[in-house]
Amino acid sequence: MINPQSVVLFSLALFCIGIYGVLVRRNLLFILISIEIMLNAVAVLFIAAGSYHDHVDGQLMYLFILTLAASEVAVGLGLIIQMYRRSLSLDVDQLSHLHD
Amino acid sequence: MINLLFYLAATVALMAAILTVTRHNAVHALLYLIVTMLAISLIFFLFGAPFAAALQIIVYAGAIMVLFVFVTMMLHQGELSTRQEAQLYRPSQSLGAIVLSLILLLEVVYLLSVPERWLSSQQMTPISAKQIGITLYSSYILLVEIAALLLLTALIGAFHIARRHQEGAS
Amino acid sequence: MQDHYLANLLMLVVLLPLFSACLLMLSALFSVKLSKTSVTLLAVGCMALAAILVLLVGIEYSDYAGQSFSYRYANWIEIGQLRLSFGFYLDPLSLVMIAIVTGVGFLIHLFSIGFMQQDADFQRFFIYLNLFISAMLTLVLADNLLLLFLGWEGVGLCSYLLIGFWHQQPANILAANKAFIMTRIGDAALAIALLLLFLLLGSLNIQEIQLKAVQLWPLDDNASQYRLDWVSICALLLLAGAIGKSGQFPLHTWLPDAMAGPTPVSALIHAATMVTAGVYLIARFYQLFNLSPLAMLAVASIGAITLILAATAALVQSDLKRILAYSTISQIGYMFLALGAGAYSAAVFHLMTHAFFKALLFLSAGALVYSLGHQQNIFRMGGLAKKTPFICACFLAGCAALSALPFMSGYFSKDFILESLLQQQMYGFWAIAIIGAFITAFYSFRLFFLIFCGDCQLNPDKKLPTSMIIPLALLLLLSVFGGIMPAVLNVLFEGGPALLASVTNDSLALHLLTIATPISAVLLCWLIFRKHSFSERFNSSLTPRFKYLLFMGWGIDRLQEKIFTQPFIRLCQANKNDFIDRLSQLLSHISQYGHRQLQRLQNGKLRWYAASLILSAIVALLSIVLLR
Repeated sequence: MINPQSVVLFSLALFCIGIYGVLVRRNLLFILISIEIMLNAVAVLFIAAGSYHDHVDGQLMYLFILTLAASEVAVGLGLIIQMYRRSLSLDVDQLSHLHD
Repeated sequence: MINLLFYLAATVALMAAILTVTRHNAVHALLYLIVTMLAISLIFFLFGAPFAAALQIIVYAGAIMVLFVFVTMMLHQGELSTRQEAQLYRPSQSLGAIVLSLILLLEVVYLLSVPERWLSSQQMTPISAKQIGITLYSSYILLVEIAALLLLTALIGAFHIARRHQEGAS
Repeated sequence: MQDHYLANLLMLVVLLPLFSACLLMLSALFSVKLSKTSVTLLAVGCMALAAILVLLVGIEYSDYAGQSFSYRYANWIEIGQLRLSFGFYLDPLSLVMIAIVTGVGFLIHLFSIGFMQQDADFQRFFIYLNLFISAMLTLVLADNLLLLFLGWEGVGLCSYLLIGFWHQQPANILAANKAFIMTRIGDAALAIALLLLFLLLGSLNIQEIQLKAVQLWPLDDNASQYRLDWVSICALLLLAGAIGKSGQFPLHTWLPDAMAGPTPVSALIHAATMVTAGVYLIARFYQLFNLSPLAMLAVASIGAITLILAATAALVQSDLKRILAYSTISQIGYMFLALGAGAYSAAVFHLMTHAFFKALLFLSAGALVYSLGHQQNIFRMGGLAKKTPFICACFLAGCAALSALPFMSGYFSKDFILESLLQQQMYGFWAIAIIGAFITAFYSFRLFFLIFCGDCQLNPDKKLPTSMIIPLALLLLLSVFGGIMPAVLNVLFEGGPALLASVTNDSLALHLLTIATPISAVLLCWLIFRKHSFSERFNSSLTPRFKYLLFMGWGIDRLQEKIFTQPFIRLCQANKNDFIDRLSQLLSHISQYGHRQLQRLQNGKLRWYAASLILSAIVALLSIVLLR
């Protein structure tokens, strides 16, 4: 029996690493990768919970996360390609056209 | 024993994740990401979710990673990328990834070598793909359709966004 | 049913002048041209009707035999324990007051017809006059303090409008402003008193206040008398309000300047209505004042100081109306002295006779000024006795009554005040009053001799219209005979020293003294006048500086300017940048700063947004964990 606390801690650590990546990296590609890590951290939690409660729903949620990740990566990568074509850079700080 | 295996896999996953977000080179980062995915897949296996573990490898480490790598390759064109090719092939750069993967491989080998009865004694009743399928297509049918819609939208969206605009800025 | 009849009569008395004022105002507002005759008919007719109604009220009220009558017409405000009504309270005091206000007010209205005939703003003048009377009646009849305050402020407003009636001249506006601001100081004190009384006693009804005050703060004889307790504070604040309105020291300086208005206005303000409001207020609250020896002493002291101060200032003035103004101040000082001695009946009696003879003096001064073509300097006049015999007779009667020559109306009332001072063993105040009486007689006959005796200098160019002669004749009769029936006023106040009752107890010598004082003053004045020693200039006097000081009204104006006005102006100049405004601007600065800081968050940086998202998630989680 795997200690539940350690699973949660592991998931949290992975999630935080993802956050760290999102916040620290300026390359859009790395931000996308960090988001993938965060998604996986959540997925681990789902699977573990499903396993502890002996329930199918945890894995079902994992399936949907997978679907979500696939869609997100597809759209995100499309955006990255388009952005790179337009400004030849993936630096999000330079791409801050939202304000003014 | 299974705890030890979990800690080992978790450590590998965390280290690989840290290395992923700290790499300068996108391809290296992706390499470590794949290791992370593998480690997580192993953890899934330890939790008695072989179907999820398989999907993790197939979809993440397979499909999504390939997508990433393709994009990375597309973005690195011309002279810059050829200069990077030399570094990309250097085995010393991928040493960390290799070591981490090896640890995972050893774990899997160990897991495969132990008898099945030992696994079931850990009170982890594996959930089979059949169970998942039945639940998915009975009580979660609506979610399946939504997921399908999502995927379709993503497909169209990705196609549209990534299309090269004829009238776009040069 | 009797009650309703009386209540309706009272209501009508107050509403008639108001109705006339409103009608005239509306006609002016919608530019409906009214002829002077119709304006006169409306304004003066309403006043006449009000005066007749007061007579009816008096007849009706005689059934009550001195008991008070109160009637609530409608509720005004009802919040929690605050219950205010439009209610009138009639007792002998307010009856006397409304009789004076409507009677003398009517005569002044009548007089104004002739006086203002040539004025372009005929209608406006009568609007103000009617409004003034209506406000004064509200003040006098109100059964609660707030309604009284409403009338009080209405009187203040109307006096401001009337003093500045000829607003084309800046000096008049300054005088009006001065009157308004000076009385405002007193009004503020009155407002504070009002709130304080409500806070302490939980009621604004005047009778209830006094009943509760008597229960709450009973007067104990053996304790130290001059204590500054709550009742004293309330009484002193009321006194401050009365001082402002009645033109007593140190807030009296507006009164001489208030002569800027038309002469009938001066008569109305100084004789019948406004300045008596303060006396009325103290008389109305006599039970409250009785509880505080300190406040009584203050009332008497202020009366005494004002009495001497104003009388001496009147000695050297050269402007006819200013002399009368100072004499008003000093006569009201007498009333305050009487109030301070607890002789409320004597005070109100003097108020009544003063209303008669001072209205007579002002109106005859107005008639004189009118016939002489607006000449007000008494040193330019002289020998007018033969040319204007009627006005001369009026002046003679008025001055005699003012000087309290025997058997004039002023004699009786002043005598009662002196009597009651003696009765209360306030010998110092009594001596001051005697000296004041001497000075009063002296300056009033100085005025009379200078105008009507000696060489003729001016010729009257206008004949007096009948509308002026009638009120003058009536007031002449009242001034001479108005003091004969004081017994009616005996029922005014329970407790205070009764009129007439004690006359026999005193020695004949004191009576002779009070009779001899004004007579000797008149004789002295005649002697000096024969020697032509009165002079407008200051150099011929023995003590020119002192005379100039008196001429400036003891320099209290100057003093007030030095102490209050100039530091205030200096403070204003120091505060040119308005640091209080800075404080309020600080608020906007803070919000602007906050806005700029928050704007910096809106920088379009994706990672920044992500960080703030995570941060707020962390805060939310922490709050869930920690606040559980």
